[in-house]
Parts: sequence; C-alpha cells; structure tokens
Amino acid sequence: MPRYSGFFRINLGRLFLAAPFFLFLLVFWATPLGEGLLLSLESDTLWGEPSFVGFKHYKELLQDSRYWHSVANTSVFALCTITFSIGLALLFAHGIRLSLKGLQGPLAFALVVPGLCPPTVLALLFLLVFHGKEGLLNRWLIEPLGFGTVNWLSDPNFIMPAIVIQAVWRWTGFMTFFLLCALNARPRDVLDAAAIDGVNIWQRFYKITLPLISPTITFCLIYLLVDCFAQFAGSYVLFGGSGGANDSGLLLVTYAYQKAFVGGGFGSGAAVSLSILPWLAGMLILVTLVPRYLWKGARM
Amino acid sequence: MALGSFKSNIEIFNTRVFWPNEWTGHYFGILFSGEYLNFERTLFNSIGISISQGIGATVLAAMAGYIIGTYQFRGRMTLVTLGCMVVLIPAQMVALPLFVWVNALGLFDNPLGVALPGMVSGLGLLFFARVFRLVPKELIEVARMEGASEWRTFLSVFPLVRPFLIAFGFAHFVLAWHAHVIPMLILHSEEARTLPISLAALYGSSLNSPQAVLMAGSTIGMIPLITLFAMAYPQLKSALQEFVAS
Repeated sequence: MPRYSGFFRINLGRLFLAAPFFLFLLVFWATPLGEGLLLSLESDTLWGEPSFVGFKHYKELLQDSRYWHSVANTSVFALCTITFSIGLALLFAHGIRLSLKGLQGPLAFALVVPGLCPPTVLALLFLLVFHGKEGLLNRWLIEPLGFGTVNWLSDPNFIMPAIVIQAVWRWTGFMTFFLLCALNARPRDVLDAAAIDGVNIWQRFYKITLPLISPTITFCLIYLLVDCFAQFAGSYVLFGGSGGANDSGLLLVTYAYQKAFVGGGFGSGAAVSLSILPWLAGMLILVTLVPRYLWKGARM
Repeated sequence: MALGSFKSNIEIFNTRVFWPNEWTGHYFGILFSGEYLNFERTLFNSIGISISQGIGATVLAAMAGYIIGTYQFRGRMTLVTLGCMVVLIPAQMVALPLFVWVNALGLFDNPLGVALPGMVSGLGLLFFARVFRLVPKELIEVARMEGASEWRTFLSVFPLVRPFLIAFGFAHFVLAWHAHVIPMLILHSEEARTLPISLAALYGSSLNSPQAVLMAGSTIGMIPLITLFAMAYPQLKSALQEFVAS
C-alpha cells in the first residue's frame, strides 16, 4: 500500500470514515459562516427582501463607540481571566502535588466541580454572591475588611471584576486538572538531576518545569481565549442581555445579540459576530508569541 | 446552592444564614409539580441533547481523526487547518447565521437543530488525529496486511484508545450541557427547552422569582454531570496524562 496517495485516490473505506465529519462541518459550520458573511453585507431590513449594501455595516462599526467599548471590554475580560485562572491553576496544581497522596485525587476532583456547573446556573448563583447589599462577597469579605459595601453589578467600576471573578471561578479547576496531569507527566530524571546539581526551586520551575509543560499551557491559553471571546451566558444572565450599567459589561457576543435581536438588525449583528475573528486572531498571536519571546533567553 | 434549595426566598437573600432553618423537601416538590416549569421534560431534553452530541461528536471526530492520524495524503494539512479554523470560530460566534440556517432547514424548535450542529468539533478532530498517532504503527499495519477492511482496522484499535474516547465524550457532553446561546435561539417552546435555558428564563420571568426552586433545579441539574464525572474521572486522568506525555 503506498504511503502517499492522492486525496482522490483514497479507497472507499477511508472516505467512508473521514467523510461524515467533514460533511457535518460543511453543513453546520461552513454554511452558517458563509451565510453570516453574506448577511453582514446586507441591509437590516426586517420585512421584505434585504438589499446588498457592501461593507456599510463594517464601516459603521468603525465609528460606533459602543462597538469599540465592547472590543476593549472583551479584550480586558479575556486577558484578566487568562492571567488569573492560569496563574491560580499553576499554584493549585503545585499545592495538590505537595499534599498527601490520598488527598490528591479528591482535591483535584473537588476543584473541577465548579467547572461542571453550567455558566447560566453559575451566573444565577453569582447574583447572590454579587448582590448589592446582602451579597456573600460583601458580607463575608468586603465588610469584615472594613470597606463600604460594593454594588458589584451596578457600579460600572466593579462590573468587569465581577464577570472576571465568575469566569476564573469556573475555569480554574479545569486548568488545574490539565496542569496537574502535565506536571505529573514531567520526566523525573531531569528534575532529579537538576536538584542534585543544586539548582534552586525557582530556577527549576522557571527553566525546567515551565518549558516542559508549555504545550499544555499553550493549549489552556487557546482554549480560554476562544471561550472568553465567545462568552455569552454569564453576562447574559447577570445583566439580562444588556451591557450592564454604562456598558461596562458589554462583550462582543452580547453586542451582536443586542444588534440582531433587540435592535432588529440581523445584518449589523452578523457583522459584529464576524468582526470578532480578527480580534481573536490578534489576541491569539499575542498570547502565544509573548511567552515564547519571554522564554527565549531562559532556554538551557 | 444545594443548601439554598432548602431555604425560603427570604432566607436565601439573607446571606448571614448559612444552614436553612427548616430542612424541607417542599421546594423539590414544587419543582417537580410543574408549577413553574416542566422540570422532567427539560431535564430529559438536556440529557437527550447532550448525550447525542457527546456520542455523535466523539464518533465523527474519531473516525476522521483516525484517517488523518494514520495516513499521509495530499490535502491532509488542509483538513488539519480546517480543524483549527473550527476551533477558532466556535458555534457561538456564528450563532446568528446558524439560527437563520437552521430555520431554513426546518429544524427550528427541534432538538435536532441543536444536537446536529453541536456534533462538529474541531478540537475533537485535532485531538483524535494525535491520539491515533500514538497507537503503535505495527498494529495498524498488521491489520491492514491481513486484509482487514478500513472499518475493521478502525474497530480493532478502538479498545486501545478507549480512555481517550471517554475523556473526549465526557468533555463534549459537559460543553453541550452548558450551551446557552444556540439552544436559546433555536429552542423556542417550553417543551423543547434545555435546563440552563429554562432556569435562566425562570429567573428572568418575575421579580419575585422562586429562588429556592431555582436552586433545587440547579442542584438536580448538577447530579448527572457529577455522576458522569466521577465515573469518567480515572479514564480522564489516564488519557490526559498519556496525551500530555506524548
């Protein structure tokens, strides 16, 4: 059997195995994407035939201050969520490895449970946590520390921290689980050799562990980033589909939803949805290239 | 949250109360009585949609991933790139046109309208392409040499990748259970709604929303997920560790 064969000379068996996936992809992913592109080039007519308007919606978006606001919000949201949840996950993963053998399984298990909670339900729970006067966060953390109560969901300054806390709460457990597996899979001999040679803990972490687990971290980064940019449920429930006070919690997907279903403009809504892509790609390059640049000097 | 399902509205909002005053199953009764929502129906919808998505996505991605992972052919990189694109453009981003398109297909308000689009997983394709590369080449070669059909060969390596199948199936099940935008747009009637949508709608329905019933619903909604997670946990761990080590 030739190892290299042309795509169209594939025998039927192979085609049969590979085709269903790509068929689904074509019907339920590529078609809507293409349709979205077309939709974004059409006028916002609710009834009757929409007319072709070219890049009008995109041009309007460029001058739309709410749009830029939502871009900035989404970027801040994504960066904060990624930084905190991966940072915490690294800490937790190390903590779990230091704990008793018998405790490691249950601890990892318990950490993942918040991530199993649907974001919608989580947002409902967080309504209690963030509640203006009586919320858990105010009662148990802010007031005992001697600060005045924070109205998390209506004070524009605290809306972004609120949704970041929610996302971090949700994802940290999963990321810990991934990183724990990566840490457990490190080759022991390298670490032992470094320890014997008198490399201190910090150097071992920075120069050996991090490069070893960097593929997993990259995976976590990409996963979180895509999820943050597609985030909808959390802020939808917290703010009932609006952007919150002063639009401080307006994310790109929420804005697209508003444009299409509240404003009645499917064309401009689709334009907002599709305009997420370049931002996402940009952020992706940023979060994958910056660590590489940082660690260029650290490689042994 | 589990505690909350035993409290009254007043107690829930008074966060100084940690344990409910009276342990009462009252709110679970209300939940199942169908006063606020048809709970059995929504739970059943959620389970049905999520399981079919989990299994469907795993099977489709495993089959395609097997071909991509074990063969070299022209156009292979194109397919892999396509997989990456699907990862980068998740369904939520194309939710709007997807909604229009599903309507055009006549699947509006139909569980299939949510389940079928949910079976496309770019991450799954990339994951399984890599997983099947971990399977010893000799094994596949032997099977092919013996004249086993492609389908037979695929089935014969299935037991080897079982933990990976379970791990991915579970992860996809959870994502499907969590989905919000697409079910919200496509499933309109109350009979077709999934659990997160119903609970969110119940919350938004009135100012005096029945918090305890919400909590009870959320608690019960977690049970399938936690049970499945407990069952899949060992497989999940071994699969991840093996995957990361490779």
